[in-house]
Amino acid sequence: MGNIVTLIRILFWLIAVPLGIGILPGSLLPKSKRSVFITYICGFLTTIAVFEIIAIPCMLLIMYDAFEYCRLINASVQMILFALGVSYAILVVHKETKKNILAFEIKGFNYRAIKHRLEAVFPGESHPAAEDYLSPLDCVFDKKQRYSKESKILWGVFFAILLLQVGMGVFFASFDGDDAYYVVESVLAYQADVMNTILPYTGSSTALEIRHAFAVITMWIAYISSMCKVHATIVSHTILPAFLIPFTYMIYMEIGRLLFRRKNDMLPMFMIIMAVFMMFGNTSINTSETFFLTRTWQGKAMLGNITIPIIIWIFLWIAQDYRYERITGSIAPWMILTLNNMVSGTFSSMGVMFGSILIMILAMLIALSYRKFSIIFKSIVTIVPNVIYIGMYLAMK
Amino acid sequence: MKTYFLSNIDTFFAYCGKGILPFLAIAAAVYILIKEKSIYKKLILGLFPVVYIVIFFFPLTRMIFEKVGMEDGTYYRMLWLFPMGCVIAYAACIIFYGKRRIGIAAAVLAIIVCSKASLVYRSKYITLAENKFHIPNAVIHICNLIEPNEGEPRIRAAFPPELVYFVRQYNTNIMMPYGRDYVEAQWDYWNPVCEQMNVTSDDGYKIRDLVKTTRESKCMYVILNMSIPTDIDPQEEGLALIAQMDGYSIYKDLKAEQ
Repeated sequence: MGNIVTLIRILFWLIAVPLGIGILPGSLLPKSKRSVFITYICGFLTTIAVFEIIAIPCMLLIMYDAFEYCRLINASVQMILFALGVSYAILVVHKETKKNILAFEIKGFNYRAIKHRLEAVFPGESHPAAEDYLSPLDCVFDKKQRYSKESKILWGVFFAILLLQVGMGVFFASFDGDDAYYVVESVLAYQADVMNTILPYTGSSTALEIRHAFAVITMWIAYISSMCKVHATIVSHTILPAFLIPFTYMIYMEIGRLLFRRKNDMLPMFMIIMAVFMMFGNTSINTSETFFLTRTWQGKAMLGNITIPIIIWIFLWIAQDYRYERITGSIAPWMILTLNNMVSGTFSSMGVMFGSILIMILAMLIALSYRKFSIIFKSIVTIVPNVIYIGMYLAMK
Repeated sequence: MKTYFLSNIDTFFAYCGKGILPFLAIAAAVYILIKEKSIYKKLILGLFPVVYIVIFFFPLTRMIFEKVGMEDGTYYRMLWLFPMGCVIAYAACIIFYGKRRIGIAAAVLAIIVCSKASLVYRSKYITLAENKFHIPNAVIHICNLIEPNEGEPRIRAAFPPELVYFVRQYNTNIMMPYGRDYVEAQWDYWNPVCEQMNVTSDDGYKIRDLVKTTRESKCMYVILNMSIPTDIDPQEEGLALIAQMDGYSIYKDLKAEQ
C-alpha cells in the first residue's frame, strides 16, 4: 500500500503538476501546438523556473532551515499555479461544450466525452477535420497525423528501445564520482534542511560555494524527494532516469514533428536512429550521450539533453514560422526559449553561457538568411535571465 | 593562437574517443547543406553545424572560453551544442526516404561502426543495481549499524577509500575525515587518515598510525577492508570489533574523543 501511495505522489509531482501548470503558458501556444507533450514541456520548464526564483533567495537570505522555507513556499506557489491551470482547463472544456451542437453526447464519462474534453484542452491532439484539408494555409499538417501499419511497427521498435533505456536506468547502477557531491547536496537538503552550506564530501560546515550553489537542480531533486517522501538518492538514481529519459525523447519528437511535417511516416525512423545514437554515443566520457544515459540525474546531463535540444527545437519552430510567414504575433516560441534560459542556469552555471552562445549563433544565421533582424532583438530579450544570472553570479563570487 | 588551435584539436579527438561519430555528424551536416531544399532545415541542421565546428576550432573561441573563467578542462562541452544525433538521424531519413527499413539498418550500422560498437551498457561502470539507492549494499548495512539515533549528535567514521563515494549518499548524519576529493588523483590533496586507509593488501594497515590519525580526526568508528591484513590486532589499540559484514570489519573506538 505504501508503495502505491509513493507511486501516486511521484506521478502527481513529476507528471500531473507540471502538466497542470503547463496549461497556463500553453494557452499562449498556437492551437495546433497545444498538445500534451508541448504543454508538459512548458509546464516542466515553468516548474523549474519558479523553483529557481524561490530557491536562490531562500539560499542566500535564510540562515537556518533554508530548505524547509524553500520547500513550503515552492509547494504553495506550485499548488496555486496548478489550481489555476486546472481551473483554466475546466473553463475551456465548459466553453467548448457549450459551443458544440452535440453537447448532449459529450457529457458524462464515455470515450467520446473524455476525448472531447482532452481535445478542448489540448487541441494539438486532434486529427485534421474536413475543413482543414480545404484550408490554403496547409494547417492539415499541423494536426495530429495518422500512421501507416509499418510506421506503427516502427513506433513499437522505438518504444521498445526507450523501454530498454529506462529499464537499464532504473535497474542498473552507474558509478560516477560526481555523485559524491551533487547527490549528497540533495540528500543534505532532504535530511538536514540546508542549502549548500555543508561540505558534501565530509560533512563539515562550509561557506556557500556560488558556482555550484546557483545550479539549484540538486535542491529541486531534494524538493521532489521531500514531496514524494522518497530518499533523494533513490529519486536521483532510480526515479529521475525513468522520467528524464522519456522527457528528452519528447523534445526530440517535437524536433522530428517539425522536420517531417509533411512526411510524418519518417518520424519513427528518425526517433529510432536518435535512440540508437544515444546508446552508442559512449565513445568517450565527454559526450552528451554518455551523460544522458550514465549521469541522467546530474545538471550537466540535463543541460546537454534538455536545454540544448529545446533551443534547437525552438529555432526550427521559429525558422519554420518565418519561412511560411506565420509570424502573426506568436510569442509562444520566445516564451519557451525564455523559460528554457532561466532553467539552463538551474542545471549548470555553464548553461547560461552555452545557451546564450547557441541562441545568438542560430538567431544570427536565421536573421541573415531571412533578412529579419527582429529575430536577433527577440533572441537578446530571451537571454535577459541569463544576463541577470551572470550578473548575480559575478557579484556573489 | 597556435597553442589554442592545437588544444582544440586535442579536445576534439578526446571527445571522439575511440569512435568517429563527430566526423559522421559533420559529413551528415554537409550532406544536408548540399541536398536539403527546405531553407530552415538546411540552416539549422546543415549550415549551423558546419559554422559551429569552424567556431569550435577557432583559437579565439577557446581563449574567450578560458578568459571568462569557465571551469578548466571543460571546453569539450562546447561540442554539446552541435546536435550530432539530430543531424545524423535527419540525414539518414532524407537519404533513405521511402526505404525506411533499409535506411534504419544502414544508419544503425553506420552508427555502430563509427562508434566502434561503444554500447553504453558495456561500460565497466554500469552494473546491476544492488538496491534502489544504486549504492553498494555493504554501505547501507554498515551505515545502518553505526548511524546515530534520532536526536543524537552526528558521528564521524573512517571508511576505506572505495566506500567514501557512497556513505553520505545514504546517510548525511555520518561524517568522514576525508572524502572523494582526497581519493582521486586529480585534486592532489593530502589527508593523514586517507594516507593510512589507502593501502593495498601487500602493504597492509598500520594500525598504530591509523588509529593515531583517526583519533586526531575524532572518528568514533573505523571500518577496515577484511581483504587487507593488519600489522597488529586493532583491539590492542583500543578498537572494539562490533561487527564483520560484507567484507568489512567495523570497529568502535572506545578511546575516541567526541
